[in-house]
Amino acid sequence: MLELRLVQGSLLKKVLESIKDLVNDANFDCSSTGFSLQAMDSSHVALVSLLLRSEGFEHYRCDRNLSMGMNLGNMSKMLKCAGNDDIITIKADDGGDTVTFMFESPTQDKIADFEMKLMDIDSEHLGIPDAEYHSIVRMPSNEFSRICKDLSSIGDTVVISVTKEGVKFSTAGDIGTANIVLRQNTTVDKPEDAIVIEMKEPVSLSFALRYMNSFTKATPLSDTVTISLSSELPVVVEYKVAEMGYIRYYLAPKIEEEEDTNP
Amino acid sequence: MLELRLVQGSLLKKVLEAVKDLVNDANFDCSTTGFSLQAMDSSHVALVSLLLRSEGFEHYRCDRNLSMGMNLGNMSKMLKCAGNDDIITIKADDGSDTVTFMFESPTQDKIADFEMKLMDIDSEHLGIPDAEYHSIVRMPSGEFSRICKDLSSIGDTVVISVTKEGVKFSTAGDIGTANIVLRQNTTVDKPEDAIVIEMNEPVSLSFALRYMNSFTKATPLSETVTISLSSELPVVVEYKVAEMGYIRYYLAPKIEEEEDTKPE
Repeated sequence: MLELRLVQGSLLKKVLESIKDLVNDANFDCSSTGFSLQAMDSSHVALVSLLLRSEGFEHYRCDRNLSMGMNLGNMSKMLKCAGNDDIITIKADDGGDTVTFMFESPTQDKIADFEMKLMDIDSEHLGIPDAEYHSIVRMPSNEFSRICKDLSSIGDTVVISVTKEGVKFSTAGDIGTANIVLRQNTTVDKPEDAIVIEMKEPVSLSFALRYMNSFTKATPLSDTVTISLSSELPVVVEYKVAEMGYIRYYLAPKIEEEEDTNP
Repeated sequence: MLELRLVQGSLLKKVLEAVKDLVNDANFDCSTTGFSLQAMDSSHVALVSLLLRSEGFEHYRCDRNLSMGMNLGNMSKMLKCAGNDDIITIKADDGSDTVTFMFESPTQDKIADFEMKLMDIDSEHLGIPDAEYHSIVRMPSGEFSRICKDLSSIGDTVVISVTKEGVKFSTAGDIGTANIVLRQNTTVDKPEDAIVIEMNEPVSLSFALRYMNSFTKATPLSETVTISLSSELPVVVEYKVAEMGYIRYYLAPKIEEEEDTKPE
């Protein structure tokens, strides 16, 4: 028996919007610690990892670990029927082949039940080791989204370089090149507007902008985004989900074609 | 000679938007009591009935009863040229084969005349008897529109059931099922947000969501919608048009394939 009641139901709607373009079908894993998902994107290049901790739910009952295979497109269709102020409850019986999403309006005069068939999905859970990153950049999420969108109108690869001066996002395409440099800035009115750069070692890595643009679908979830870079590791782009968890995207760097960096 | 002057011209624009997807060509009937339309949809499944009473017009002159056949798509094209604040006047001469829509801007600095050819349309006027309905639900029109749209992402038939507990809208499709229950709620700040359920007898009827979604095109006309249900009669979905009339949609229930209503 599973029953998870999330007062801020709009969070779940936003979570779905931030994964469904990347992943078609995935297993949601429920345990006593929380509601989580780990899935590769359909082209097996990027990895999404989602965690919503049990403490974040108003009511969290999960009698035994359960893995529920869902089609995220269909799940998103159903969650779109929830109002932004609705309370969402996820319910499933042990051994059942369906999951029920219940939406309650704040005034309790509208209650909707959406029942969805579950599917069997083969998936291997990858262990993601904790790692030390060479550089960690924290910045406003909409600034990052804007940069990825802007650069993708010029090129299809972004080079993210962190140096003492700041973080540089560069691209090159047929019509020209673009470089956007952000400098550390912690003297702002609102802490979420800060740009914080923790650099242990300078790094410079290339990524496909197409994936970065998919990751920025999570922008409505959080005012800030954290980008962790290391030369031997996939980049981690992390958005916090309120106080209750996170959504993390992992993407391996592109191997540079041996082109020199001379201008 | 016909001359109808409607100060709140945007009403006529909204009325057209609410009818034109369902009906291609229709006769507008003008009499001393008002301006009305009754038409079946092109697949002859739903019926639309519109009435704008003469008192709602600033000026209403209709010397003799007149039936004007119009292509609603073309009429809508013309009305889209009227500003939302414009005063709209409908004019026709007896025996003429055209109708003129005149749009006056509120400041009177812009006056537009659109003349449209009329057409001959055969139509029989159906008498709609007044009926007692088993259950009548009044609810915010935006909420009804939302429910029909939401359910049509899951299935293509809605079952509307009224019981003591409230009104339930259900559907089923390939990806799953959905049930939305609304409870009576009259303790709201604004009367138009109330959900009022008058139940004489419980009913449960199935309808094609495609038509329901067409009906909700009338949502901009009114804050509330009234749904009247009876097991032997078509459902009536009614939107008031300001104080001057209504637009009513009639739709026959789907005959249930012999599936029981027992759960699971």
